[in-house]
Amino acid sequence: MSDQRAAASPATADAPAAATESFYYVSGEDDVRIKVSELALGQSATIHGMISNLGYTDEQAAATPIQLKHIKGAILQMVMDWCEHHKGEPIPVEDTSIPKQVNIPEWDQKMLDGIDNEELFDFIMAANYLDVKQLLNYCCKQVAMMIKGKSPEEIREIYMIPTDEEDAAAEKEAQERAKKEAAAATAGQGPSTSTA
Amino acid sequence: MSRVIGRLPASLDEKADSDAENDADRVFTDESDPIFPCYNQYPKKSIRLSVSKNSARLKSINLNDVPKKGVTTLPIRRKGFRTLEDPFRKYKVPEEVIDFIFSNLRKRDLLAVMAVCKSFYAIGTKSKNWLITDVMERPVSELALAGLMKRKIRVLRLAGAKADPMSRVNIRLYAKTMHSQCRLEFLDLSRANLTERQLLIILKPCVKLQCLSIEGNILNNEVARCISANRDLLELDISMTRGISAEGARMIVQNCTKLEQFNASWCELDKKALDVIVHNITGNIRKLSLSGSVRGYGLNGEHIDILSQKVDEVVDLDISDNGELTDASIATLVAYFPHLTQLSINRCYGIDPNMLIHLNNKASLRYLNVHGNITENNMDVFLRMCDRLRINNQLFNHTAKPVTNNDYTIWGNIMLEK
Repeated sequence: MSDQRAAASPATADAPAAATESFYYVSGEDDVRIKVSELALGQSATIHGMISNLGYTDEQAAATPIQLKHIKGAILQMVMDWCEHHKGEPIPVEDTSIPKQVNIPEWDQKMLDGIDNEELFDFIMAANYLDVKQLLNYCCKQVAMMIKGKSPEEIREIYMIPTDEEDAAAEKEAQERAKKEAAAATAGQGPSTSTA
Repeated sequence: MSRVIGRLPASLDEKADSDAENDADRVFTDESDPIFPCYNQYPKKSIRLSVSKNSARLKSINLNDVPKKGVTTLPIRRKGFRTLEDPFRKYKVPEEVIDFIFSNLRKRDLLAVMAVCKSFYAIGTKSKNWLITDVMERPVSELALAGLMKRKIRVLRLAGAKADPMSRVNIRLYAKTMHSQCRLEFLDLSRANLTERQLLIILKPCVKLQCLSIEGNILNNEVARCISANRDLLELDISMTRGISAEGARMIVQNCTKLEQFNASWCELDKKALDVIVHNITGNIRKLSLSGSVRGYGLNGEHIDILSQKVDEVVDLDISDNGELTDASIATLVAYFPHLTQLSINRCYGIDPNMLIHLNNKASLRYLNVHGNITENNMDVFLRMCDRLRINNQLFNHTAKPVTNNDYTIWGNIMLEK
């Protein structure tokens, strides 16, 4: 699926190339270069900042990709696809006085439905790092949709969150184990020096 | 010679005493042979104890069976247990993002998610969702109130809430609430019938109140003191409260100097309290209601005279149901109170209906409510004579009331959940 998308984005990217749009390459953890148009990159406030700071010319942009080492390649590809799809859209402004109304459009809904929990959280972390506000909006809304209408038990089950007692007990156990090991380690040095 | 770190209870030591010296070295150096059962997953370290490793009694102890106090024992970890992991922890989702996720939830779901674990509770408590909370007509317990007060709440409606008198918070939580401060600005407690403790739980932390309605509740000196702590109070409704004393009234009226709307109707003000209010009310008052006094010592002409000197900015005055008012007060009303636009003197039977016509001459007056003063027959005549005024436009007085027409807003704040 990602191959198809990789093939598609250069194709769409080539068409606006005639209209003198500049491109950048971004690469993720796996160092695979993804070609993205500048307008699409405008969606990501972090990258936008990086670009304006670096001041690449077109040749440099083609040569050196923007490296985002801790984002997985597949996730980065999907984020870039999203940016391409939504390029040029205004970035939403945080306004606390207006009650929050986030509606996920169809294309995004389909995309978000197709990924599992782990990938969704990968998405959220990537969107948070790249500061793509609208994508973060949609992803968080998706997670909220999953939480909505559930009892605390069900939420714990879905996300495998331990109850506080289990959590405290698990921590206590880990601490006791660590203490025992530490005690045994220091004790182990004791007799060896004395017997030697 | 080698010192031991851990010691088993004395009973076990006795038995193994004979072997202790001989086996001591073997206990410490022998790592391959575990002395008592332990998880196979973890590397074996030498465990130091001063007992023989052959002690049968020792072998019969299974440390896994030690029950932890009050906590259900964990299941033995299976090998594949670690594969499923909490994504919130795995990715170390930062708190702002979690708060962002919760901001999409409505209050009912937010409460559910806050019950999941302590960290979610902490994040949910700070959510902006709690800024405007509507608990109208619902049963509330002390614990719920204490919890509400700790959140970043700005507008709270508890109108008609049924208080659960049986539930009481523990003393520490109560004390903590008493010493905390909250950001509440708009508080509607009308018809709530809260117990005194609950009232204090809500009111004590409030210092930033702008609008408050405790219609129908108890108003003793403690509560009055809590109210008087809010120096920025603009609108105060204490109608139909019970138990107000002169001291309480004094505290309120002397400290809330920015008060613009004050409704003290039907709260059994005795003579002293009424005197205190009239003498000490701030000159900023725009709308005042002192209707419904106790028969025998209600609002009289003297009070009106004093008010005419003190509250000359008043726009809306309601002095209905005060039987002691006489025609002289009408004269004062016409002569003073230059900004008075609306006047209600319903059922003031001490006033001669014929005198009411003079009110037509008052330049500023626009609305006049005289329910019960004019008989049916005379109403037409009256209406014709008072051609400048709108007569009996309103049935109820809205001074300092949180809700006027629209049930969904209190003092202008929309209470509907988005």
